[in-house]
Amino acid sequence: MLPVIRLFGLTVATGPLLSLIAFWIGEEVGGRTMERLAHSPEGRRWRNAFGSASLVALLTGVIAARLGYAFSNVTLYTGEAGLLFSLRPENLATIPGLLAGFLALLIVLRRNSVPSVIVIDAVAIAGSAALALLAIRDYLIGIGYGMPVPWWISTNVTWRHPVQLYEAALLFLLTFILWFTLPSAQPGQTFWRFVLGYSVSQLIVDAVRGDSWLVLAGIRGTQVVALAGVLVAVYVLSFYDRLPRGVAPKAPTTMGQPKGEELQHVK
Amino acid sequence: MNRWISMLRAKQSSCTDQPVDKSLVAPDTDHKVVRSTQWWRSLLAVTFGLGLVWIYITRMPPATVYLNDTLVAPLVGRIAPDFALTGIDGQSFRLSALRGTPVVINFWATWCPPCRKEMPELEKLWLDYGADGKLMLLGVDQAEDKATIEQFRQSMVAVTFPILLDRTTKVANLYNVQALPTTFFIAADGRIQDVKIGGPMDRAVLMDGVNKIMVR
Repeated sequence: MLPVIRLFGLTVATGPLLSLIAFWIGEEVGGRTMERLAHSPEGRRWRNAFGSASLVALLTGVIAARLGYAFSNVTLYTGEAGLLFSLRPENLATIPGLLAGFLALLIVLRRNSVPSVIVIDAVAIAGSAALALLAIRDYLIGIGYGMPVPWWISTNVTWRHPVQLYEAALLFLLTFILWFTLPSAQPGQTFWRFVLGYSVSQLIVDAVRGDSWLVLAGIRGTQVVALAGVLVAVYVLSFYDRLPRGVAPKAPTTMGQPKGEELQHVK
Repeated sequence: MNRWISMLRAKQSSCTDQPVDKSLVAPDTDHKVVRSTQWWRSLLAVTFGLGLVWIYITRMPPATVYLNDTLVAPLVGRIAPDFALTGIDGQSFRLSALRGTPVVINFWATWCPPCRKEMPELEKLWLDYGADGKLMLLGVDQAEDKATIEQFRQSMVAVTFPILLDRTTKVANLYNVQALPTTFFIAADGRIQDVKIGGPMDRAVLMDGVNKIMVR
């Protein structure tokens, strides 16, 4: 495994470096998605707005993650409040950070007259690309491991499934599918396709994971949640299929247009 | 969603007074919607059934628990590789003999500034938890002799936790240490729960690792 990388005489921790690269790739993919969804001169403005909003979201997310961690470990910080400002990339709570970051992204983009449903679609594709890179990061730093491969022979070395690479491959495939089906997608449909694809990938990958979260009699909890995600996504996507075909949708609009019309885009 | 569908249908019906461009309107639109609903319901039911079958046949087999116990590697979730070293006071330590007690292994050297900087926090940890046997803290010094470490202890930082001599860096290679300091947090069952690469570790970072091994 590769806990550190040596670059130009510097020793850099692999985990934080790849996390930053994943963020940058996600921001780039999300910005280009916004530009495609705009189908108008607004595209460039939306793309720039997404870039700025991403930085605000990153900062907000990190602060919220640190505060979230401190909230659940109050005794640690009551005596030494200065630890809140530690520059080490540890002691961050994931869920508060993600929620706060996403809300900040949504608020900044709404102030730039970008429809919320467009933001959600862009974040879906960006998230898919970023998660694929984070899976590669996990492989390089040794987070998680797979079950023994069926042809494993009892020796000192056990061959195991590289589950992180399976996950990365499936998520890259999902990213390509979402990207190339973007022109024909209705507003919000890309997000639900992402939910469907990600849930299916977890159903597959978790089957060969060696450190799965087990709930009952060996049943993997992540697969149960993923199946629920698949069913919800299929149910919601069925409503898109009910839309009468052949009705020419309208081009996206900026501020001042009625809400119903701003949800449509040109095929 | 239903309001959106109704709105779009209203727009379609409002165009009936005008000449209709048949290339824009699909025939038998209402009939197609009814069939799609049945089709989607069937798809949901089949997906649910197949999903349950897949989850059941891919559940974790009991035998795998034993196989996972044999995972020895210097990574989170695996069993910490065993080693034996001698301390500067001549006492021998073997990691496997400490099974049943949480262990913190800190790879360091006297020439490493962040290593020196985090020594007071490690000493505080030892005084808080090590004195009554709640935790074992081992400082594994890299490629230095006993005299150098004694000089460091007397002139710079008073360190009372065990310092082990890894003269040939054999243990560091076993643990794939590529930067100093690197700290491994090992639970009482011998499984690595956290690895902190780089330093200096402040109290919050150190206790983050300690909390992961003290609760198990």
